[in-house]
Amino acid sequence: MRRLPLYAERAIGELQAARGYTVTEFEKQFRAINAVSCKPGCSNCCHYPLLITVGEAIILYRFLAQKGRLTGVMRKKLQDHADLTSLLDPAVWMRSNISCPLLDTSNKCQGYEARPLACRLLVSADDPEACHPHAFNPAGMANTADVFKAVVAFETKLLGTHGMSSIRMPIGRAVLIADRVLTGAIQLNGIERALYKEYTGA
Amino acid sequence: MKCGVCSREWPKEHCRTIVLTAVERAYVMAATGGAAPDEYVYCNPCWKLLSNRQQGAQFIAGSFQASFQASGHPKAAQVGKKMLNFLIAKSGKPVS
Repeated sequence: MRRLPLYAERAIGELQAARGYTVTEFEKQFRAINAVSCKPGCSNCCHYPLLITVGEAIILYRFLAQKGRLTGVMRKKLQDHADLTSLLDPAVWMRSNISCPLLDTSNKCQGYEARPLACRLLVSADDPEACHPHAFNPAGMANTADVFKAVVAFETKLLGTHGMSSIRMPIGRAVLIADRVLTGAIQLNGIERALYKEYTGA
Repeated sequence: MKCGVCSREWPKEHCRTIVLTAVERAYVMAATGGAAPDEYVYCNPCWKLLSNRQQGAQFIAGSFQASFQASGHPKAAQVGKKMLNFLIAKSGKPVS
């Protein structure tokens, strides 16, 4: 797996640091006043629509590769997920209960330690059944809209400053694009064109 | 064209148009007690989803459950599960 140009590596490093800091602070505050009901094996929020940037996908891809989890089965799951969710309306996606491709057969996340920010901010103090996509009732979930908005703005600015695409795409597609970037099949400045081609076939 | 599922506007080449047969039309009219539309339009992403036996069933059942829940039905979750089991059984293929 190749290293990216210095400016891109720096952007990804900064993104990783900012993400870690934000989540730690947020979790500390939420846990101080709530009894978190999230438990290993509950994967209700792993069926929500999830769009990430290629920056986050690169972090995730490297983690999966380092742990030897980018198997043929995993690649097929990523491709199936990308095919099913490309351009899908988020409201339709939500009701379709589509599993995240990183979930294994025991409903555990294969990329947990490197999971995207949106996943880290989903935390509940309510009955886990209320988080199921068909029964979605976010009353007991942490309100992370402001934190998320702030981090998205930071990420967009950061990636833009370093000339990287900040387009958000379904997680399966994003990890596959990261694969192509890190193997040199596409260049950093060719992400948007590659995505356009994937979507339109043109 | 407007997708009948997500309600987004799409160019014609990105849509599937389903024209009902006379038998299907009669079935829809009997089931709804009204007129059946001449055609159903789906955008490609929604069509792909509905064509997937597992996820298509999940979407339909999820939509039922959501609307039952919104109307305050106390057994919305059970209705959703029952609907899902029915659709999966109807799809005729084992679900992994």
